[in-house]
Amino acid sequence: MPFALALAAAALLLAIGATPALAANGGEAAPWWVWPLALFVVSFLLGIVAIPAGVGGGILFVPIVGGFFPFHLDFVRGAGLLVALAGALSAGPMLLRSGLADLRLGLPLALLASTSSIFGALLGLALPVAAVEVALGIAILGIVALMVTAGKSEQPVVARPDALAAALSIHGVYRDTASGEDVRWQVHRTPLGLILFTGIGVLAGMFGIGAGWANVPALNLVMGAPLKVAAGTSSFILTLVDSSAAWVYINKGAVLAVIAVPSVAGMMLGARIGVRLLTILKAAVLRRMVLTLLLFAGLRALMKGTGLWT
Amino acid sequence: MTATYSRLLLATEHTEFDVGAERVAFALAMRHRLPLAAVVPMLSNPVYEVAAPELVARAEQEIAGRIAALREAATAAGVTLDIHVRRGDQPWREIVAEAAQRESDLIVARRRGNRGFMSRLMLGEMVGNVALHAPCSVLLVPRACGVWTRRVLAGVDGGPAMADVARYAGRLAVEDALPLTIVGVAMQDTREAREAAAAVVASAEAIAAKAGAQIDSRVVEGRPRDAITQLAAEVGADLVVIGRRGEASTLKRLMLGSTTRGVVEAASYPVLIVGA
Amino acid sequence: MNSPSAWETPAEQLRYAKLLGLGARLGVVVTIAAFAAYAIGILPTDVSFARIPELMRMSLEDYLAATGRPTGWGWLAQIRNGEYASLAGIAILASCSLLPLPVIILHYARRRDWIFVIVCTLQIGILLLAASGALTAGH
Repeated sequence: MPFALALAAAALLLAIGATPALAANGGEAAPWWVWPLALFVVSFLLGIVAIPAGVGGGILFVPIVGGFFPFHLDFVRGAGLLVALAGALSAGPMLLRSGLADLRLGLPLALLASTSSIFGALLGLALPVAAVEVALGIAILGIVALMVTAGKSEQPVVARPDALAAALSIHGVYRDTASGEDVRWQVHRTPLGLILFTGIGVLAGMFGIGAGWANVPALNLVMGAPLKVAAGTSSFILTLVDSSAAWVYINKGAVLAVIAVPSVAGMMLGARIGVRLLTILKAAVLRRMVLTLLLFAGLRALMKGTGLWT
Repeated sequence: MTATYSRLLLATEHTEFDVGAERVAFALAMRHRLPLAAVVPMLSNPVYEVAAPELVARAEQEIAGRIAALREAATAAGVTLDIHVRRGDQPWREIVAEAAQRESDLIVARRRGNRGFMSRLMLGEMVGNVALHAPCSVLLVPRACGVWTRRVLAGVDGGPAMADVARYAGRLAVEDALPLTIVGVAMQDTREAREAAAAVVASAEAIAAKAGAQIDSRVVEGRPRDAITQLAAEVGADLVVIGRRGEASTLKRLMLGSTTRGVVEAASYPVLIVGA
Repeated sequence: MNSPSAWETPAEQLRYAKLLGLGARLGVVVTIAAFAAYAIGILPTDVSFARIPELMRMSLEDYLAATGRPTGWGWLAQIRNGEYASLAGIAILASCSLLPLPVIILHYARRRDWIFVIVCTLQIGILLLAASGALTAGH
């Protein structure tokens, strides 16, 4: 299937490349429905590539749409939060049922992260857009670096839970279907985890990006939760964090249905195709391509914010 | 005496292409009374796991079925298997990481890829990367092969791997009480080339002889991969021991040596690639 | 097929999952249906479609000044307009955690798990605070 891969990549680049041209050549003269349709198509393509590449759609949306569509970043961030929220909500119930998302692990972290996400959202909407763009660009570059360098540990060894984790009795068991074993887990460094999630909440609210890229390493590598539990619980935490931040954008009037709804719909439909492509496409190659695209979008945000390329 | 290898790692997906590797791994474990570890790589990533829990569950059921069958085959062969599933977006990385974690000294794997027509003709991409990046030696087994019983052939050149290959092949031949042929290849039909190859073979022979192996040395001419393959058939070798890469320039450090690759691709017997 | 397992999903998680799924599905259905009705022209609009391409480039502040779009919960009064009907669906999505949280508070209270009663209560408080618009008012 390298052909399909190339086709998807070409379509994505074409769609992204075509929009600024459209915007420059009297995009205002184009019929209104061109914009939601273009958003739908780009979100659809992002949804397809996000899953086999292992890069969340919520992190791709804001830098790419913000960088290459003529919409104001305020509205893009509002839509980005909803894209991330919808993604988390569609998987959340199933993950909770299977025990891969854990309430006892997720709730305390979500409480701090959702509180800080409100402040992040307020801060993001109060700052001048150029400052937010520069910050977004730097954040995206940092995120790409994290994604490239951060490892993973399927079942980290946690010798002893810390006092806080013990007091909250954060531990669990899940069934590893493939090996047929029950995996018991516990966590450590909970105070550090709480601090990290407070920071992650600020970023999520400020930039309207999904935070799986940060949640999963924090839960897995720092706190020592098994990778599957980290991924599932991260998704659950996002249902609360993105809800809180989304309310700030809704109340400020920064959620435009005409931008948010086609994006959410496109991403959800794309994801349904994307989940079937992992075993067909060369996932590692696709991941490299998507990270390159993200890197480019980060540079674009940085240059937009500093006025080098507007 | 301690075997040349003592911590075996079988890398398998338990497909029809893996039967040779499984057969040989079981036989080696039995022969030396070694415990056998196995790693089953599984394509996955955290984003996929949360986006498609139902698909993941189905894929895991399928892997569980394979593991059950693998366990059954091991039990039938009288071997106790310690099986790990490792998830990641590049199976070869998972195999290499498992070998590093377990400090394995020999990875046993299939030769062909199981995806696509081309990879069935050539060295599989996954296996090629395992052979290149493994922290230890790698034994690649075509699906129809069993463990060696006749003769070991060691291919050497003037590259840095020569001494390791000679030592490994010598000890292996003694351990399994098999005759050893050491071959050097002269790439040109010149006296210098032949003399250089003969010198390499002589030093390799000296190293292998220390282990007490019964050695037959040869110098042949031609393209190394063809010459080695042809000689293996001629002397009736059913195991070839070879280095990861030859005298290649540093530029080629990032690839598996072309001779090694060629020998593996043409082999109808297991090929042991001596690694770090 | 599998050997018997000691593992069992805690009851409160199952309940949480069920209620969250219910709210999320409702939110998606309302959002998509309302937006479709809006885009096709079944529902009236507050801001005419023709102005959208130009408005979307404006900063939030300019947009609000140019359209007189209500902030806070003001959109609820105009819910018959397509854009705000779609917003209702989005508001359901952003609120659907408020359905399961009180239920598991009861669960934790029955177990005398007071720390988690407090955590969940605070979480509800945070969501309500964000939703109330108290923090965003005055702009």
